[in-house]
Amino acid sequence: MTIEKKRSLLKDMTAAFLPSITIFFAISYLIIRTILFFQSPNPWYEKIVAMFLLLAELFILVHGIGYFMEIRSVYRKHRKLTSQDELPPLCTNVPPVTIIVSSYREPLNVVQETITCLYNLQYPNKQVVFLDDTRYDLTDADPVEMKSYRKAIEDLCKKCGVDLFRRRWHGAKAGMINDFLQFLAGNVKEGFEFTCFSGNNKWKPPKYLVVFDADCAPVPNFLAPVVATMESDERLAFVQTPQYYTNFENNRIARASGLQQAVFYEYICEGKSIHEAMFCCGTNVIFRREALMDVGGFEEESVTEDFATSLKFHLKGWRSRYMNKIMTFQMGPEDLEGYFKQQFRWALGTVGLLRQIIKHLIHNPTDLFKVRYWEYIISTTYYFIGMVFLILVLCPIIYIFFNVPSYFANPWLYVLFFVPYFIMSMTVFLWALKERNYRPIELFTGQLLIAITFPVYTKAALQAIAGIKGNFGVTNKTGASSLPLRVIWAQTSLALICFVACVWGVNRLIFEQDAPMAVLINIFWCAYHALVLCAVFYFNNPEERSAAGSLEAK
Amino acid sequence: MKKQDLLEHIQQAIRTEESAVAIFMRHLSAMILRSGLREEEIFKIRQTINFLVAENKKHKLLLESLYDRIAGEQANDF
Repeated sequence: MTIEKKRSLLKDMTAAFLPSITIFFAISYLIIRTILFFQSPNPWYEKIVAMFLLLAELFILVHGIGYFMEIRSVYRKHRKLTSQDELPPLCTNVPPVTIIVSSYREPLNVVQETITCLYNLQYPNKQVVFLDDTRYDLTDADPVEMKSYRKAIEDLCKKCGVDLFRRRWHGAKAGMINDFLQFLAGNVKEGFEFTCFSGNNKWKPPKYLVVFDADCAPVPNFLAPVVATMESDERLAFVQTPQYYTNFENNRIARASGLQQAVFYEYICEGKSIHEAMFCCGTNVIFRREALMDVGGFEEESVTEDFATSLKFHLKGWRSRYMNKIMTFQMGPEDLEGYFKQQFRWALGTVGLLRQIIKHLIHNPTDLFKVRYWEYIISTTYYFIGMVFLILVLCPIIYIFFNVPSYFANPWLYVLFFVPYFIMSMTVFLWALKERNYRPIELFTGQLLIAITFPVYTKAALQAIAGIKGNFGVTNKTGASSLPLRVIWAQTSLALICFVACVWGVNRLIFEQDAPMAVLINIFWCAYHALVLCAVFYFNNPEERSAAGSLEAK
Repeated sequence: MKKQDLLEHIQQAIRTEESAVAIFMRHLSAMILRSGLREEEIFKIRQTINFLVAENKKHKLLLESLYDRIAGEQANDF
């Protein structure tokens, strides 16, 4: 056997067994933790703190197991982690496709690039429609500026032969697409304005609808494979393709958030697709118009209308698929303000759907397959990560200052059970993504960004649980800026408390001889959390100098 | 070819490859960093991309000036 073959075999063996072994370690750790919690004779107030920590760890373990199960599913399907789905043979027929891009006062240069790319999509039976959702009716905007913007959009559409649709504003993007669906169905409502710049006045309602965000740059051959996939299964409601941020080179936020996207769009989405539970992400997606009409269009009540609409599809027996082929480039958020706004909206929308899913699970448990429930619950609970992080940070602080333990175990037991589980989890996570060319250091920055977003996630999750809706502005795409310190007070003050706890912990180590190992472990966690939280300063200064070789620089 | 047809063809060329190439190249240049290729290879690819973009800009300017010149001509047949 050659060295190459041996290496390949070793890789295959690792891919086959490592996720399962990690799941075993995680479950073992969880069992030990739970037994120790219930057996401990500690007083009630210590038990309350410990219960929060146990729940936080349970959350991480369940989500970790979910992630490793997705990796295992991908391996089982392809017998390799690097393989992806084969594309179906391209269609000989060319069903009509309408490409829409909904825009709310996006900068003209961004819109221009998007329209240029849409114009260049190679497909013989396509129609591109720009859905201008800008609020020209608002009184607080400068009327001259708005008039000029309106005219510029019209000129741009005219120049590229792209049709333009406007309507009387209601219900943001979901409302806009629903109105356009009504228009396609021939139900012209008051306030609808359609201007045909393509010269094609005789077009029929399309079979498929492709949705892009206003800052997307799809490659010219985007349509053929997604249409072929839709044509291969008439019960497919939509096919989602990845989002890929390309403004990462000189921007820390775009780079880190792009890596979070990568973690999601690699094994998680592939696993969800295998389990027929892939949800729509709102852009770079093709829909079957018949399916959209069948579920009554996009869900307008949710701020993550794409996610909520996916549930409607699945409840009605439609299928969904994910095609892991990067065919669209996008711009990620470039500063903390934009990133926090985006994450708040996503968190509020997805956690908001949890109530609906639980309701279905209780009242109509057969509405979805078990695996789909699992996938939806994993997705909708993900944004509790903010609360979980807060608990993890607070527990060692409470121990150091008040001597209230939250981890009822001999420190040596902790080392014996926690360390192998932790090492295995990190190894699988990093190794699986390394197989797809992601470097550990980059992935770590993605995780840092998630950690410092904890106040945003916490607020969104609490708001979603309480059923409070939120207001959102458009993400700034005209350059990066830094947030004032008062906006990032939660991260900075918690970092400071962690630091003080470290100092106090060292003081305890020197002057008290009680449980030095436990104090040491808690000091370690406080120091680690202080460092993690200090990353807010790194990300709050998002722009980096242009790297050599950058196109922008040249 | 009639003047109007020629102008439309030129405009079409400006809208398609001349405008789109620069957009895609910018994205590709970033994407190449995640390709798993060695640094020297990435550097070479990016150099080529930069060259193509620069040439593309020149070509676009050339076409735009050609468009203006033809638009200003009195003749109708080309």
